[in-house]
Amino acid sequence: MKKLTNKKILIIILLFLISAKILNARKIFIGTLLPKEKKFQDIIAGIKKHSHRVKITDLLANKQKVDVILTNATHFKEAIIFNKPIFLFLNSLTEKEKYNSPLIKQIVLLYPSVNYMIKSSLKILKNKKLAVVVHDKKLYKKLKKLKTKNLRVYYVKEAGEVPYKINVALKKADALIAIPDNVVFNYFSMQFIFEKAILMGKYIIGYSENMLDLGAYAVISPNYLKEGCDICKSILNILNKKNIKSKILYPTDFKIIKNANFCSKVSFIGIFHNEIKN
Amino acid sequence: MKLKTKIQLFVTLLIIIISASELIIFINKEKDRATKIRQNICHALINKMEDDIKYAVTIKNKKFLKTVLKNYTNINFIENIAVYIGKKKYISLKKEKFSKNYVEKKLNFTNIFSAGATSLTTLKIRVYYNTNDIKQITKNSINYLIILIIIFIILSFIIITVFLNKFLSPVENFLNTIRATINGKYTLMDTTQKTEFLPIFEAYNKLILNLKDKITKLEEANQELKNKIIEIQKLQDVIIRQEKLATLGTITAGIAHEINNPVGAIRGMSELALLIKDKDKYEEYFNKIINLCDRISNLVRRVKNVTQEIDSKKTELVPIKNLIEDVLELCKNAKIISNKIKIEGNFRNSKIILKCIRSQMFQVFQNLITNSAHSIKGNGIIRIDVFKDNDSLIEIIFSDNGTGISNKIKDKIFDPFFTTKGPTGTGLGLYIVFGIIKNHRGMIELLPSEKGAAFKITLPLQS
Repeated sequence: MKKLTNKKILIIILLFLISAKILNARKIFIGTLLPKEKKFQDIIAGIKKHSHRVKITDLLANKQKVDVILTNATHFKEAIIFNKPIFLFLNSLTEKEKYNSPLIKQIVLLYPSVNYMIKSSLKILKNKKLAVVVHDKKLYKKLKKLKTKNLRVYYVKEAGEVPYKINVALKKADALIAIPDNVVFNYFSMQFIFEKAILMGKYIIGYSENMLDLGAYAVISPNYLKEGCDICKSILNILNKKNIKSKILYPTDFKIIKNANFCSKVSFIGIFHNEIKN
Repeated sequence: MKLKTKIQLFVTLLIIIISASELIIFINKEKDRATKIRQNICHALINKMEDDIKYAVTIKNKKFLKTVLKNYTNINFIENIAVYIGKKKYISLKKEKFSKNYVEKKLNFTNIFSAGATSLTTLKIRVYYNTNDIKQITKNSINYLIILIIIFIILSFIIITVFLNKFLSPVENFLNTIRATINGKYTLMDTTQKTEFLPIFEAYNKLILNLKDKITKLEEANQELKNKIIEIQKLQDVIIRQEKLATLGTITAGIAHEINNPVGAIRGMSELALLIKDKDKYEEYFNKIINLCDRISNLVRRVKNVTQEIDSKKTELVPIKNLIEDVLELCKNAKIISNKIKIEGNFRNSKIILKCIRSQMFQVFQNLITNSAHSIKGNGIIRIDVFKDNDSLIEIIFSDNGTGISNKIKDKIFDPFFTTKGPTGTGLGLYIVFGIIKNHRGMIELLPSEKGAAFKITLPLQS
């Protein structure tokens, strides 16, 4: 048997320390309480792409112990039961006040901000009169203050007013900007608004890729893959206790998709979010 | 068939005919109505889904379009919905063959998704519907209607019956009253109740009262007439009796002569018998006397018979042959018929039996034969023929070749007290013959003949 030299002992100690470090980097279990929509699947794909340690489990199918929970407004109450850090996906900041819990570590906005939508739409449909119908009074006031020449803002007090206000908006404007608002644009009203607009020969700028099938002229959608990466970073930070403070994650990267069915009747101006930001 | 039944049948038939024609009109109308309703529903559907289709075509979303169209095909009579863009079929929910019934609507709209000429899209929405179940619906309606019609007919029948009973009861009463009147019970209609027939009833009552009055008068006259007839008959019977007595006188004269002759012969024979002593001759003479006595006895019996029968009115069955022969025998004995007159005819072969009053019929035959015998001067023939006409009548014809009856007096021969024999005749012979034959429900007539006279007596066999 050969004698152990000091050099060899040092190498063994080093190897031991390295293996201990590797063993320390254990798997991260993320549980999801989300519907099977394309945007969520894109977000999950972004998370997986960012870190190989992540293992994602659908809690709607099988319940097990997880480190973090990703959920939306619909499944928020179910998520609280797990007593784990929650990443809450919301359509807009107007809904934020409804969800108040110390478990919420991050609010992830799924759609672009209203300002961004309006600015983008004004750029896409140049010299066209645009209309926005909003339910949030604060937002309404804020938009009113913009005093943009080609923009008309309509306020809806309650859901029953939506058809009338949409009708008025479509009559007075050339296009309608669909902003994420559950009162105005929801599962039930979506088809009605699109049908009305199409039959009146008006355009709609949407915020979700699904809207293309309904006849939206173009949609401004966040880059969900990138958003997934950002979410993954946040999860790792929280788990490493680097950043425990709750914050809002705004989508930063967008894509503008034009409806392939439309011919080039209206000149489409290719723009990017960076340009609009500037 | 009664008037009431006739009216009931007529009205029921009328209702059935009207109901049947109404039913046929209803069936046709119902079919048209049902088809029109379906067409209207199809039009309404097209109008309702028009916007959805336009929208789906614009956004080129066939899946959405199918979902929209499928919602409307839940209606059972809608077979298929097809959408055409221009002349090309864009979408059809079903591919199999459909009925030829469809409703179509053409739409022109601007497609904001297309540019230039293609932006104006011609859309054709076609909704196919079937009419198969309309027949069933119509059939159900017909069944329902038939039940209603039957109920209606039954109700109508009951109403008509009640109405007719009320309306026709006075008429039936009237009819019964008339029937009673026909049967001789003169009753008046009740005019206290108010009906539509009141004037008729009043007129009828007046008529009946007049009739009663006249009938009463007629009955009185009839009774008077009957009394007179009885009186006449009594007189006639007296005349007949007198005539018979007169005939009897004639016969008696003849008979006396007939009796005288054998009595003279008997006396002669008796005297001769006293003178002759030969015993063998006695026997011969007494035999002759006995014969002569028998002859007298027979003659007397016959005369007795005749005299006894004068008042007899007893009907009896008499063989006609015997009756005629008795008459002829009496007439011959009474020297009414001389030896120069021959009696001919088929009466001797007749087996007919007559039901009659023998004495009266005897008198008829005797009168006719006597008249014939008196009309023959010298040689002559009296014919007596008996014929059976059918099974109910008998004809007896007395004819002779005597002087006959002139045309001038033909109409008077049956009148009473008419005679051609001068003071020796009573003028009642043929009048009595006529009366007796009439009483026997028969008929006597003078037949036209070239020579002599011919009388035909027609009698019923049952008489």
